[in-house]
Amino acid sequence: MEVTYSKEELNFAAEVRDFVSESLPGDVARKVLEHKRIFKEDVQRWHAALHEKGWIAPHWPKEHGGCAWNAVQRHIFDVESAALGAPRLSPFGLHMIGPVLIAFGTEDQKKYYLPRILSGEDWWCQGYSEPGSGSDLASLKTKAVRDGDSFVINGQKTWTTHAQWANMIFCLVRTEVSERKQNGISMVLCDMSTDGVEVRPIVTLDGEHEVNEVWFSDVKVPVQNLVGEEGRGWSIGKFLLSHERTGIAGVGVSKRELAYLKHLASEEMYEGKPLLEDPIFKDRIAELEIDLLALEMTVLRVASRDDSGGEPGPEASILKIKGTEIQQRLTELQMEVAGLAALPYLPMAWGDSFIGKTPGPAYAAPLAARYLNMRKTSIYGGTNEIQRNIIARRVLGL
Amino acid sequence: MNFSLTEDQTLLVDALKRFLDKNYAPEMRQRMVLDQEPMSREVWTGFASLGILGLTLSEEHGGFSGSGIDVMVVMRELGKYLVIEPYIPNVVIAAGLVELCGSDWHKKVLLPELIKGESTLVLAHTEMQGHQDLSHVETIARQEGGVWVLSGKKTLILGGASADRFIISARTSGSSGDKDGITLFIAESLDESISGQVYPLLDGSRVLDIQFDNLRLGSESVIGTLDRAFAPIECVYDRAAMASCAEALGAMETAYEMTVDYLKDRHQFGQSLSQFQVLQHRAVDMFINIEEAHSLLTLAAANAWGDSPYERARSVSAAKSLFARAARFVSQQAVQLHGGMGMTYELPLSNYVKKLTMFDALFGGERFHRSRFSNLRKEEADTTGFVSPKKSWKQL
Repeated sequence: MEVTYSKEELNFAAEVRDFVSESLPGDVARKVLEHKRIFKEDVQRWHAALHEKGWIAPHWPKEHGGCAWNAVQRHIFDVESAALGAPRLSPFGLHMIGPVLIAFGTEDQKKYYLPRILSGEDWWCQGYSEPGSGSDLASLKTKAVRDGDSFVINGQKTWTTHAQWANMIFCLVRTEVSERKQNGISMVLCDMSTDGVEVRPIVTLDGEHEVNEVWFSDVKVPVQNLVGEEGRGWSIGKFLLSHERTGIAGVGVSKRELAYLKHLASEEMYEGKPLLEDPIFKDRIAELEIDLLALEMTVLRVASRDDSGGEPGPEASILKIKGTEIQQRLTELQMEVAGLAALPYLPMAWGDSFIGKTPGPAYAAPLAARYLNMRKTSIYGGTNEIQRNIIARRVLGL
Repeated sequence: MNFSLTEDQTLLVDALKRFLDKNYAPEMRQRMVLDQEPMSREVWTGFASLGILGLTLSEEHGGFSGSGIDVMVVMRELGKYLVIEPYIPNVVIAAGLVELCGSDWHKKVLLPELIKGESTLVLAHTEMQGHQDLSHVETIARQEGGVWVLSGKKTLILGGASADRFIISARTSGSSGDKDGITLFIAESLDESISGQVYPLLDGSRVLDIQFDNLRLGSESVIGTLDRAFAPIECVYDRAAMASCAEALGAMETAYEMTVDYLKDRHQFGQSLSQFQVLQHRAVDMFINIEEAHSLLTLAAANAWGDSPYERARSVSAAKSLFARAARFVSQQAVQLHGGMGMTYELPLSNYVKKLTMFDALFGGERFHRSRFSNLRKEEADTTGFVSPKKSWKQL
């Protein structure tokens, strides 16, 4: 057992730090670190820098333009780049449809789409959830009917993150009504500019526009956009959800947010002393830090087992549950540091170009919105309750 | 980075399991507890043959130069079988102290017989007011002519009931609460100036309180440097805390397995309890608590015998406080999910619950360790070897 990083791993971490310090645009890093609003171009600039370096797809095999890094290297990359304020890349191409195409796509699909994902030319979004199909995803109703060389799609998808930025969507659609609801689902790729695709914004608790409804009215998609076999979309969809096992914990971002929390608490005064020295607050931070340390060790345990080719266990679900709980607690404590100053609702102050003055300290302005926004983490990607069902099935053997 | 056990570790675990299956069936353990035996000599000799009594001690004295990870895998098994033989007090604490600060002569005389299981040695340090403050030592040692004369009381000496010798901590300068001024002495348990009283703890293990007035010891009885015992005591307590986490891991895993089996077997409302989602999720939360604790334990185990007092203290305190929460949750939910049966004395689960209930109070509790974790200063810890929180602190 070797529980600390090897010399090679430490060198790799240094290499990542050097690259990120040099190539991550300073204004983007500042927005991320200060919780300012992030735009598509911000993400694209960081995407382009990574693409140029050849580091845009750490988990893809080399033959498709990936780095083929092992899980420990990927963890190091996540932690180091997050610490320096790297924005979260859009996961839908790189982490979702990309690996699916590598595993199930036709040669033509791979040749066409993979380079466009790597270069950032395509921005993908995910057409899974529907108004009547959330946790019970297999009950989805959006229909695709074969008509010559096309599928004609009718129905509605929802909670589609950044559909307003995307030019492509991958969808689970029903191509056949079958007794077992998991059968007859297919995965198709659709250009967002096709006639009949309509994006309608959904405004979330924080007042921001991040997710959307996507409506399909007689949308024609060529049959060559079918991924894998017709009617086998459910197993492809599940592959996609279980693909990224360790990144889901968000340890890199949580470590950065913990450091930020401590920094804020060391500046905010309470009864003549920094809040960080208040015994109760300090204890809450320590408890969170210890939980995060345990999560990171779990990620590394899973990561090192990943590389030895072990069977996927219930770990991904543990990482999702603990990772999101920690992310949410961090937003709670950051908001608590700000106290009353977190209450003013001034969305214009979340923009980087804001030059006015907020009633409280500048750092406090986006904290409540972030707290509200991060409530999504225990809901998306399979709610934490669904994750517990998954663990129960695998561990309790039901 | 690699989290797999070595082949040697796997072999050791297998051998230990086979030994405990044969010699530590629940009825045998129960009989020992009822007979008020503090330990079984046969089991202890068996441990010696398995090589675990000298696990981390140097090969020069007959040990195996093992690592903290070795201790972790052994303690996890001992936890699954609820072994009451005082492994931590003898091997991790007392033999560890001799190795850390004893003279060559002490090591040569003491270690080989401890490793062979021919004699037992434990630390008598705790004084009732001491709680978790390791510098609380009121026992006094003064020099008279060429001998040391000790007077004081020690309490809750783990493994004390079966010890041939004690390492007694006493104050040779300063006053209670000072880190400087504590010295270690070795004494025979049969010395007639020591009187004592044995009593059981919750888990059936037996501990000892002692009292001594004018216990006279020769100058060769001093172990380590005069006045400087605090740092080595803190070091072996950290290792003991790690070992007790590993033991709790084994106990939690077993309590969890028993609970899951019960959920599957027990039927109410015409279905097995394991069909109820609220119970499934509770069991999952037990499982998650155990997994997270296990992860952090490996970090503590890797650092417990390491070179940096800071990394040792930080990882051990993190693990010990996380384990306190996990042990409480897992043991309480194990009882709850067993329903009325969980309340019964005779169910084997009860012994695991009692073991886990003791966990927090030993080797520093959740409050102490989390406070230490948040107050640790790297430079201070590594240069002085002192890692306990100061009474007042400055923020970095």
